[in-house]
Amino acid sequence: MADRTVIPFGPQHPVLPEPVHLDLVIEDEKVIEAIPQVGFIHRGLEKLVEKRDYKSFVYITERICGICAFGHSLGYSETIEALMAVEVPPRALFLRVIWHELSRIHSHLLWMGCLADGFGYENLFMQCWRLRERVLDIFERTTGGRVIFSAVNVGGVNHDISNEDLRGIVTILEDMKDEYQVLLKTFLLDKSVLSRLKGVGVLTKEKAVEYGVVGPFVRASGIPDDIRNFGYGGYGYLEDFEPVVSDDCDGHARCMVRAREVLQSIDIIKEMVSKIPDGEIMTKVKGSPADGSKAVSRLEQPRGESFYYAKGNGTKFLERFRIRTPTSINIPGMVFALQGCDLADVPLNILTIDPCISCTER
Amino acid sequence: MSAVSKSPWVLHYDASSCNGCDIEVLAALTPLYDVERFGIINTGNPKHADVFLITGSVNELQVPIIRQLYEQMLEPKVVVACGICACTGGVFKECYNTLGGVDVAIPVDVYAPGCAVRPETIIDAVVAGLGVLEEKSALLKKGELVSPEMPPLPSAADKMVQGERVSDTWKNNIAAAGEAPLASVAATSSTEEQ
Amino acid sequence: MDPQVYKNIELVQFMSEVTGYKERGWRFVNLCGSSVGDQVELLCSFALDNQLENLSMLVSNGEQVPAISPLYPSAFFFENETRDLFGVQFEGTIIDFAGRFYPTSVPTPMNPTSVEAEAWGKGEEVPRG
Repeated sequence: MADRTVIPFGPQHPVLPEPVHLDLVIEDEKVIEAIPQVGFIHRGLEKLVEKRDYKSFVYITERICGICAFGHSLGYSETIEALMAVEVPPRALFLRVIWHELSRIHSHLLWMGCLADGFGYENLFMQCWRLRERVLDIFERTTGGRVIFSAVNVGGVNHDISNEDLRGIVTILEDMKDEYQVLLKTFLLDKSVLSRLKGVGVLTKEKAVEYGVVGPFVRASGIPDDIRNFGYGGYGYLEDFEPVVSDDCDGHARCMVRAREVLQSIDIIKEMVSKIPDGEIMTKVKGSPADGSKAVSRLEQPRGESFYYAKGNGTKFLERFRIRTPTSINIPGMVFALQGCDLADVPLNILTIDPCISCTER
Repeated sequence: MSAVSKSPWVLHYDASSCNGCDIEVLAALTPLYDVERFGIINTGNPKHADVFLITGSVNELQVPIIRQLYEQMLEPKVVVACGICACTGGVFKECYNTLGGVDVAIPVDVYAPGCAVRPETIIDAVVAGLGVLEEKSALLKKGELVSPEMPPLPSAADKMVQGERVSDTWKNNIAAAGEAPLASVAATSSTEEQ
Repeated sequence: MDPQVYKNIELVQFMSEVTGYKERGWRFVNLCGSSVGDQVELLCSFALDNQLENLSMLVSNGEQVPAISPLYPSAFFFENETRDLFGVQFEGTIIDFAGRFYPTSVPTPMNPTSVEAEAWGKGEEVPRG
């Protein structure tokens, strides 16, 4: 038997934008075990519900993660709406979907850039981020913020987007689509991308079910799991929704799923804009969650399904708020997928699940 | 102007930020803002870096890591705290696991506020940092550069720097790997790999 | 909106319920705690397509909870997390960090009987270290 060595990976590492530590137990060049160490970004946000009332806590939820900011505030609002049985006006539901899908485009482009950077394709990284700035411009015009926008609150949304601006968004996205096709072609067909990603980090369908992974990670293993499919919130107004699935189970499949989801999101936004009704954007919410009331809700974030749980205690402060983010269930899957891979593939393996550590640790 | 301020290399580290400031730091490097036109290049190696961009508030686990990164950087060096959390602790200040801004761990030269900090602010802060870098490099040439004093360690973090908590986690991790002899390997290696 | 299904069970029924979900092919979603008086209420959620069910049970301080990670491997993350934040002890976790998963500056910050957590709630100086 070859000697075993332990290689510490992180918390500061060039491919990691965020600190996470892995102890890689290796034999020759093969990883036989990866042990995660988290807690570097643990702040204890869930406990802040005791100090912020349920309406202002939505601004804290946005700061759980700057990439999924909109998603978390949306998920929190939906949970509190379920807790207090609040009916949200249809226009607000449509606007939420539009912003959420824009966030997905920005998150996927960001990830595709980081992945390209991870395997040393600097040019592709820059091109992805250049394109992403167009989406951030839309955010800045409609909400005033680039990454954290305080657009959602319990009962609806804080800002309206005029119908003229909505049509403008569609025009921008149409323009983007042409440029995006060039990037897409590179990601799907370029020889250097293919040779770096094909067959890396395979997680078979059976294993994906066993580890219960979510989001593009599971869809790349051939399982069409997508919360948007159930028509919760504004997604119920969609004509037709088909999750993007790939059967290849490797790193390239995950890349492909995310790349195609960008196009899908553009189509969803176009459909929402063509159907959006006029009317109110906010329902006034009065009172506090009842003592002992509980609510759970799920939301498909760019990184996968996230789960929210809230519990009231009769005051305007919640008793407990819990977020199960997609990465926290994908990390165990990743740890098992890392077993048996080459040491050189470890960074790519970690990147292809799109880990978002600050979501995970809160 | 010395060579160092014409092409400063930056090191970015996320102390315990929400990612908002991190992606803005990266956005500042990409085509729209393009800090490379000032010769600024992002590096993953603290030994190559002149400017330390640090985002997010600090918790106890991070203190020894940030200090290690800071100490690995060669003089002259500048620390820029990016975002309001790195400046004061921001919205996380009240959390039970947050000590405060970056200045509880290492001396900070430039503060760049904002939630999330805008790329324009980051560029301004780095350019302001270049002035500090210039001063420090002049002092260094004259042999008069005195390293700023480290802030006093918070009590529990003190314990950690002596290696109790982190290395214990390590030994435990190795024990979980089921290979008892490995503990000796882990105890002699650094807690951090570049 | 997701269906709101909560099953209140006793701790002794926990393992048999979870085995049932596993056999029916349900996916593990979440495990978390919350405080009820001096006790911790565990919430464990499972999903199959658009169905979502939550098991909830009360655990007293110092009581051992059987680990579900031998059945659902990804649960090890949550078991270690709940142990560190709430002080709930799990028996048989597959990768057990023995309370060093989240090295928080306050031990078991969310445990209802934690002195530090109480000080924090009142806005007093949290005793550290």
